[in-house]
Amino acid sequence: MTKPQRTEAIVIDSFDYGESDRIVTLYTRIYGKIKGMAKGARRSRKRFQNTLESFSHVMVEVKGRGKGLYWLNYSVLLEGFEGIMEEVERFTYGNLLLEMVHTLTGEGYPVPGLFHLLLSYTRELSRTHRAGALTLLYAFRLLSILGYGPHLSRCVRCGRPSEPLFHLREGGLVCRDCGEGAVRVSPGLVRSIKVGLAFPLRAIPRITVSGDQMEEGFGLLEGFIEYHLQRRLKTFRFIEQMGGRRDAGKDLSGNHP
Amino acid sequence: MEGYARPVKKLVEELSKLPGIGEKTALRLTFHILSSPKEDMEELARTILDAKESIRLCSICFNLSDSDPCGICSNGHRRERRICIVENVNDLLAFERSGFRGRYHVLHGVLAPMKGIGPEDLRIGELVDRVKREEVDEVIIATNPDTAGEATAIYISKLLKPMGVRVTRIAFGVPMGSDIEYMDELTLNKAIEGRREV
Repeated sequence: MTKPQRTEAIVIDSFDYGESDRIVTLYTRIYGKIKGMAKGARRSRKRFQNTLESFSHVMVEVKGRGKGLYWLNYSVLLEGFEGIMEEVERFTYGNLLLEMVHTLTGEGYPVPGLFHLLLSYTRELSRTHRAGALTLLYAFRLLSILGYGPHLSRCVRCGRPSEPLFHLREGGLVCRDCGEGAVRVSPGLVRSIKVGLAFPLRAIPRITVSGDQMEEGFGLLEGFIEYHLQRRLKTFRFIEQMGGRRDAGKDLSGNHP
Repeated sequence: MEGYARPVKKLVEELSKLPGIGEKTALRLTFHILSSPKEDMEELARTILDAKESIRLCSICFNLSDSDPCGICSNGHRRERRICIVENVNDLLAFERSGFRGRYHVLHGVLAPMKGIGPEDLRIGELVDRVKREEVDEVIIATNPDTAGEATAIYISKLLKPMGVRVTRIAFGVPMGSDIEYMDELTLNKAIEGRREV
């Protein structure tokens, strides 16, 4: 890329670099995940002001690559999603999805549908009171887009009708005969995830997930991701510190252990 | 680094580990050190070691200090019942320059899920204990007005409010000397929300 190009992006993460610069990870509509250097971002009142915060939907102008980084010329805030900051629960679960995008995608490889999913998620997250359930369903949808989607219909090993037994290594449900090493999951959770994978994104906020299913679902998600990455996502540790995985706001937004 | 003597290479490597210092700056500093009088460099080395050995965290506010409690916590002329919560020592110093005369509590960070930094990694438990232990009229939360700073502020306010203490957040809006034309929508919204009568 020689000429500067403009693209929409969602800010995934950023950190300060040197006296006044910032290195930003973005998921862009055109280039997929990229890392960019925003020179003077911490002092700039015009080029970057208040646009490089996590979850922000921005229009950025990017140019070239130096030492593996793009140069960010400027960014304009399209949507700020301040609702995400207003509840610790939204902030916490939102970070889980951002970390999944960060760790499960490669730089410079745009995944069809991923930008749309991320934008839809941040919009819903900024106004939901069920951040956990929303995130759980979007997380499985994200895995599906990335090619890690769980197989939830017939036995992933032999093709016969499956039981509610999930096999992490095989990546889906198995039948009783193939069930060695699988974990039992509730049929209700399987049904919710299936609906979340099949329905349009705008329908996801209306899918119900009970407190028990949430707990079970996040356990499954954590095990599934850990199996593929061979390490634990840091946000899972954070969620643990905040008191658990249930969707009751009180658990994640106030009761200090 | 071909052609440089081993001690020079080592010094450049060590200086490059400091924040904001790249290899070129490290090399410039190295040549400055080598061309300076030996006594000056001995004094610099002694000062670094002395600072490292004598500075500790104040057991009350977690400011960096050479005494415990620190000069601010032990100063009887300050408004002891007002505590300003800041992310780090640099922010504390910024408030000191502004003329604020309450006391502080330094968190040493903010909640950062993707970095694995949770409440147990910050000085939040100590803050709760402090508010329980001391007579506090007001806690002013002065974490940065960014996503993590705001989430941390809300988390802390939910811990402290049930304890009956007044919890406030520093005002947001248009910075002094700036131009409204160039402000983003979020900042202007905050400025309207936080407006006051004149």
